[in-house]
Amino acid sequence: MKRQYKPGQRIRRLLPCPDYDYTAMEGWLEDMAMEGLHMTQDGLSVWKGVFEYGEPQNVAYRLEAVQDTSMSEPDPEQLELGEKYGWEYVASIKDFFVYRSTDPSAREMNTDPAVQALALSAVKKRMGLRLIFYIGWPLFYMFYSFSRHNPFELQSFLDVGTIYWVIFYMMLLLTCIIGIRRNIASFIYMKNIQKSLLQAESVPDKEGWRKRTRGYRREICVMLASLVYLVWIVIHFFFFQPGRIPLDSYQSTLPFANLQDLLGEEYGAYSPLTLPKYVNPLEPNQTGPEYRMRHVVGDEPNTLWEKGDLLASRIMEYSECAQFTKDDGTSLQVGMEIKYYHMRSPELAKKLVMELCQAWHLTLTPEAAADEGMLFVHTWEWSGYYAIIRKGNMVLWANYYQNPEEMGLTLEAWTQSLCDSLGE
Amino acid sequence: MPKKAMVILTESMFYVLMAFRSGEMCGIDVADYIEKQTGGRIRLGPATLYTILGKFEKEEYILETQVEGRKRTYRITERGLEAWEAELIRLKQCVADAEQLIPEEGGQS
Repeated sequence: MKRQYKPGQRIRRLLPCPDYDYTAMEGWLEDMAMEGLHMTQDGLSVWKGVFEYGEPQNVAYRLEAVQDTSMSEPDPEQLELGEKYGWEYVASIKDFFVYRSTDPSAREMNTDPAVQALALSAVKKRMGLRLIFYIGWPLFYMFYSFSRHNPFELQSFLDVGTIYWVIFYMMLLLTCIIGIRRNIASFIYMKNIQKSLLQAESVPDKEGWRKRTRGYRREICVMLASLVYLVWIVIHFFFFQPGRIPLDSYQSTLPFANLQDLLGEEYGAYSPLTLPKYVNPLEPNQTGPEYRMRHVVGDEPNTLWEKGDLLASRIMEYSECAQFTKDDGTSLQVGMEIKYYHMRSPELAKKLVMELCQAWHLTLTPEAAADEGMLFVHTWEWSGYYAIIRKGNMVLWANYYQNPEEMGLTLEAWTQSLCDSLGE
Repeated sequence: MPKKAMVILTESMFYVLMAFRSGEMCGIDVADYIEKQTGGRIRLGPATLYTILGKFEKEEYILETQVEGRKRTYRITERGLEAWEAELIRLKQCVADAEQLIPEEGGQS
């Protein structure tokens, strides 16, 4: 059933054809006018048209090539010439200015096909540049990515989730292919139109625009779906990570040693340490132990999150902060952050280790990569000890900080204990 | 393609230069002049006329001399005159070639 509108009501419609197919656009606007939907002033964008309902009328629409892209509306002289011969300027869309006339005897806008072809040269040139850009940027991205890091890195798959990440890349590829295809199609369309005009042949007719642009909406749907998915992935990644749970409510067994396991009873009684919620980075004490501890354990100490993936059966992020107090009152504050991955195969584990080393700007020799155990250990004065460990399918990245630094574990003792505890 | 288009002037282009040959004019005056001169045979469309004026200005065939509100007045340049005269010679040659053929055809028939 045909929808009923009130006179003067504004109606928005998605463009049914690509913006470069100007004869299809003219056909669409004229069909809309026959239904009583008349385009409003400046009511056209690359996605939609805004119409006002009125009397159905025979209106002629013409799209004229924009010669100078710096102009948002036609030159005053162009407007004057149009008005003199019964054409009213209505809107602009990308490469074209839209005019309309309700006067059936109005002089045609274009009376010389060769000159019209000349006017379309500017549009074709812009389309050619867009095509170069569309083909160029994926190539540049690939070159740039591969020169810096592998864009298909395992960590991205594990962080986002393999399935989501694969779909993400497929959508990106599809959007890219559609974009390139559209730009090639627009360039070829304009080239053919120019050729037809110069050879005084007929240009694509307005009547057949519906048939000609049938695939356009499908393309738009795919591109919109890709866009929605990309936004969803970003939101999912930044805002919906698995919820962190407090360590004391975690029921399963940890696959690595915690602080109590590492330090034992030698340093006194264990008690979880609560850090102040907020440390102002502008405060003068930002290099103090408390600030450094927070740097290691993050905003949510004494919590963890855990998930599984196609490439890793278990992924964990663990953060612990505690105080060990002896009977004589001396105390040791310790913080540790661990990222743990139980990969599906030793090859995947090796690849992940290589990536972790690359991310931390550490040089891992092929011999070391082939070995198991403490692959890399390091200490930084400011933020404590670091270690990357692999044991079979298991990979562990850890950071440890203790205050006072002269108390507690040595780097070697910490890494050895951590390594021994893996998978026990 | 633009270069090619300018090697041979189209009929519209030829008449636009011809209009300017008779004096300084604005776009609307040019359209009226051509319509009058051709007895209504050629009625330039506004888009065609605007494109030609833009192209001629770029090629320095015409020069803007005055701007009054929306109205712009142009005059023909030496280069424009040369282009028009070259086209005139070419057209005359075309006509002469055709006229040479007509008596022969008449004789044969």
